Amino acid sequence: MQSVTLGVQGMSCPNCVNNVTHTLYALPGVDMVSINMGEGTVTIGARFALPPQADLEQAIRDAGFTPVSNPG
Amino acid sequence: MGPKHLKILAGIALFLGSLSLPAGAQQSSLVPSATTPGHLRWFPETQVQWTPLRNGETLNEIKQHFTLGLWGKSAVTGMVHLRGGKTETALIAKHRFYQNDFGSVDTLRLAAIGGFRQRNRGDASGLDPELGIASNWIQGRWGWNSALIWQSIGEDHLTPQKPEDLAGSLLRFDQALLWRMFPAEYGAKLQAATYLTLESNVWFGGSDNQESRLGLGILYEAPAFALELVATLPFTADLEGRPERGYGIVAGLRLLF
Repeated sequence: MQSVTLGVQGMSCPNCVNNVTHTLYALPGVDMVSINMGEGTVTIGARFALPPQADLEQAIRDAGFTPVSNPG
Repeated sequence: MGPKHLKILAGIALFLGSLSLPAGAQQSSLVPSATTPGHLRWFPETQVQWTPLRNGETLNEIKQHFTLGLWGKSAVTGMVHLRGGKTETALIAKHRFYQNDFGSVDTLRLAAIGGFRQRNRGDASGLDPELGIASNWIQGRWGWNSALIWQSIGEDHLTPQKPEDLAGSLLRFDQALLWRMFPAEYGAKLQAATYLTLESNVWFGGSDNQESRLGLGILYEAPAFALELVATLPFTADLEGRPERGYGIVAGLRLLF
């Protein structure tokens, strides 16, 4: 499985996590979404090809939050 | 519609409202927020309010809201309010024009809110406009939500019971302070959060229609639903043409898919 971890800022509550999760799962090819609220990161996995990172970041924005490309 | 029917309807509304979609984050019941659902995600929300009045009457309301998120920063909400066997509707739009996410959970957001309400008042069939601004500031375990809304009300309600029941311009200022009791810190595993809320609502409708109330509540927010219970308390009142409101209860439920 391919995976990438992005930072997400502004996820202030459990409902927010649900929002980001569902928005990322709606992207074609995404098979796994795992969010760590404590670190503010989301790991996206795909059995085949991951969507382009720009699409992943736009999905996070569409969910109402701010993506961070290289989380600390 | 009698009290028994109202209770049955409230129960059905709460049940139906409990299967909805991603909602506003950390949003208290009585204060509009600057948060919106994700693009094309929607959720219904049900709220029941019970407030005895000083003249022996009771103000009972059931509010059903349906919110659709648009483009990550905007949303539109359709509202149906049931009260005394009559229905009022509204269509309210929201656009978040400022957003600064400065931490994993920290954020400051501002949104413009506007729309129209169709109030069931005698022979009146017009639409009452409203316009305002809302803000959310969340940092660590603390959150502060506020909203300033101007409403134009075209006709008096036949039996006025609340500030919005009297014709004229009405300015409403709402604030809510939220403190996350649990968890102290979010970890790797997603878990529900419980908040204490302290809310204030101030209405200024010119002389003889001024009122302020406080609310003490608890908000439980799980990944898939949010439940809030608020006790509302009278604080100040300068009224003519309607009775004073006493202590009340607000219960709200929204679900997420």
